[in-house]
Amino acid sequence: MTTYEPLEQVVTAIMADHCPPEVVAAAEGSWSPQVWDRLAGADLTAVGVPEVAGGSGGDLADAAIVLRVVAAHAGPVPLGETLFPAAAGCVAAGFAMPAGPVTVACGPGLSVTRTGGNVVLDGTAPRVAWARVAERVLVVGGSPDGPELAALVDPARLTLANGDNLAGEPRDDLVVAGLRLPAGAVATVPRGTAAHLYRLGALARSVQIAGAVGAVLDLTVRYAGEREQFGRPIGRFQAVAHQVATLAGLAAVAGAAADAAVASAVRDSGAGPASTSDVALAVAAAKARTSAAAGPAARIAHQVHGAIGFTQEHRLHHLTRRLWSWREEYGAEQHWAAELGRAVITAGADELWPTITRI
Amino acid sequence: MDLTYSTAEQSFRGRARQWLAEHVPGEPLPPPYTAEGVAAHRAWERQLHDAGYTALHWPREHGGGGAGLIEQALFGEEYVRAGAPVRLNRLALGMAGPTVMAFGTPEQRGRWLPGMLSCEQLWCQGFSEPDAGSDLAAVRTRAELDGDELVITGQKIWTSLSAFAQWMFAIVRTDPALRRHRGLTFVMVPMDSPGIELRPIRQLHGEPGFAEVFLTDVRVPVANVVGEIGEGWSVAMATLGFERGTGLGDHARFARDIDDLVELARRAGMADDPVVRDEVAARHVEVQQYRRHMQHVTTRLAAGGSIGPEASMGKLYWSEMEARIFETALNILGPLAELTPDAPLNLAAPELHRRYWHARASRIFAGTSEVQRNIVAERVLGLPREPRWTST
Repeated sequence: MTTYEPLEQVVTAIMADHCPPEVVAAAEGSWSPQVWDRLAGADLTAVGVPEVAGGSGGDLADAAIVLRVVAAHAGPVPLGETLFPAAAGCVAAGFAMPAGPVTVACGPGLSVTRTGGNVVLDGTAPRVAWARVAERVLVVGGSPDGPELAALVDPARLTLANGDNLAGEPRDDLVVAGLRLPAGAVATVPRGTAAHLYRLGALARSVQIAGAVGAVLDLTVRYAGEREQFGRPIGRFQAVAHQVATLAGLAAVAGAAADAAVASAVRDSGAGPASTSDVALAVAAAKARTSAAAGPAARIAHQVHGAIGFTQEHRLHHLTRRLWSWREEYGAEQHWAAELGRAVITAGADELWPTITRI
Repeated sequence: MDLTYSTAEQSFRGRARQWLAEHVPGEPLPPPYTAEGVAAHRAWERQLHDAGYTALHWPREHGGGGAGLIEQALFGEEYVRAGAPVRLNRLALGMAGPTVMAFGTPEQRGRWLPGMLSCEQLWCQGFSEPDAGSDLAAVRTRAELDGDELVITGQKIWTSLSAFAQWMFAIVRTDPALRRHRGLTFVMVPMDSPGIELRPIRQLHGEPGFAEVFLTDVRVPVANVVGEIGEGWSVAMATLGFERGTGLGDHARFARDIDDLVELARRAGMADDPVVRDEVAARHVEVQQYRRHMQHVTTRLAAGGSIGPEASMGKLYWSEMEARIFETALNILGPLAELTPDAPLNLAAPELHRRYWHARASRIFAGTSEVQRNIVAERVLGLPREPRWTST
């Protein structure tokens, strides 16, 4: 683990210097190209992407370290999409990673089909993260019985209905009707890739939630120690101390679940997109657990901060509004809990204990 | 607990329902934190006033409706059922007015109560300070006696409606030599006094309406003191008691929220989802429990009982329940439609978004959940008091 510490310190230093709360506030409804450039300048926006694909090397664990720190600072940059699903999708498709931010649109509403020498893109994808500020959108889709195809598309060629999540991060409804692409701009990817990229999106959000909950815990511990009422810091009231302790537990659980899923993804990096793989189960567990932690963590943080935490000028809401959004994105707790339950039941009773102890 | 209504009560309900059906504005009024919104709400309040519905809970001698508690609760239910606008001058009608009736001189009653009723004069509350939130007795805003005037210097915070209010009821420290609950005075401050400055506070969901109120050598006649100088703490506690006792019939709005949850579940295609069904059912049961509790309180009060620290149970319960209601709404909406203002499913309940954010604050304002639990533990259950640290 010690080899990771310098990376974490590097990212922390950049974010502390260049992503103060004013930058986060100003980026609402858009993003911060300046923060992105700072990270890119330190080769941090391509961490975990193989060098042959234009990345700066390292593995997904390194990418997770960067993403977690960026999330802890509420960094308004499309790093989760770029480093997790987009990078994996580009590798699977044999595309070189674009230099700027890349997001992913995949889902049942999109079809990518070959017709003669062309490829035609059709359909809709709701609330695509960062679509309007991305340099490219990696679109993955296919027909139910055909192969899955992937294409890197300039968002200017797509129709986007701009929307934001609760934290003011772009989440745009994407519509594309009969967009023709040259066959060379499209690659065939293994079946199940779209589902796998969605899963990697969930993994990214798990890591981000872990980072934000950790930061929320730090803010809350500090405030409970500083704010005095009835002649003592409020953290010395058991009613408050117990809540902070619960928050610390939530942070630990979220961090452990995200770490375990990242480790599983690193171990299984050659396993491909099978939905029954260990990494699929680990990601399902991670997103279910981190999503479950996000709401209570935000609730406790606000309760301990009292009225001051409800103001625009306090930075707490930069993190808590992200938590409230991120827990829903790429599948909420219920979605992944159901997925996990189905997989475990399908595998049968004899597989339960081996599965739990293996993942 | 008597859950049947008399003929007179039923006919009162019928009249109220009919009046509301005929008068409630068809379009929602603009929110009451803009000048336009305040004007629209004032006009609505004037209609209520002319019909005698402004302050049912006030005695007739003070211009109120002189209604019994059951009627107040029935009106509250009907008001919510009709989707009528939020009340504009609640702090005056629910807190400042009853305080003036209980502690004010006849001259003070004549001076302030009519303007509260007609909404000509809007009131805000000057209790909280940066270092006096839950710990209200830590109030520092200083008031020095100078002849027949108090000269007030200090800072109030979280002051709703202050930008539009003509008056603020405040507690100030008149005797700095005395600690904590002693040496405080309850005083009415005209908001147009020289030396008052407002600084708006934006809330995390972007809604304005809060401000900090800075007071610098603000001169207020001693005639504006309610109760005795130095006796402000007991007056303020009575004021907060009035606050915790208000809201009869308010439970109806939570019942409406349950209707919205059901509608939301249908529109989101989640009405068959077992987890969603469990959650919505649980919220429904909680709202019904709260409704029964409020009916119990109302009938007990109507029979001549009083409500003391038990009022904390109601505040604690509804604020926690409200938060759960909107958590459930979020769970129903799922990943494709967060509770953002533009979420298409919000058409089912356009208020959900605002109410969701507001529910975050409900557990903090008017006594945090932690303070309410302490009150229940110590003053309802008689458990030993939490050790007190006295501030210096």
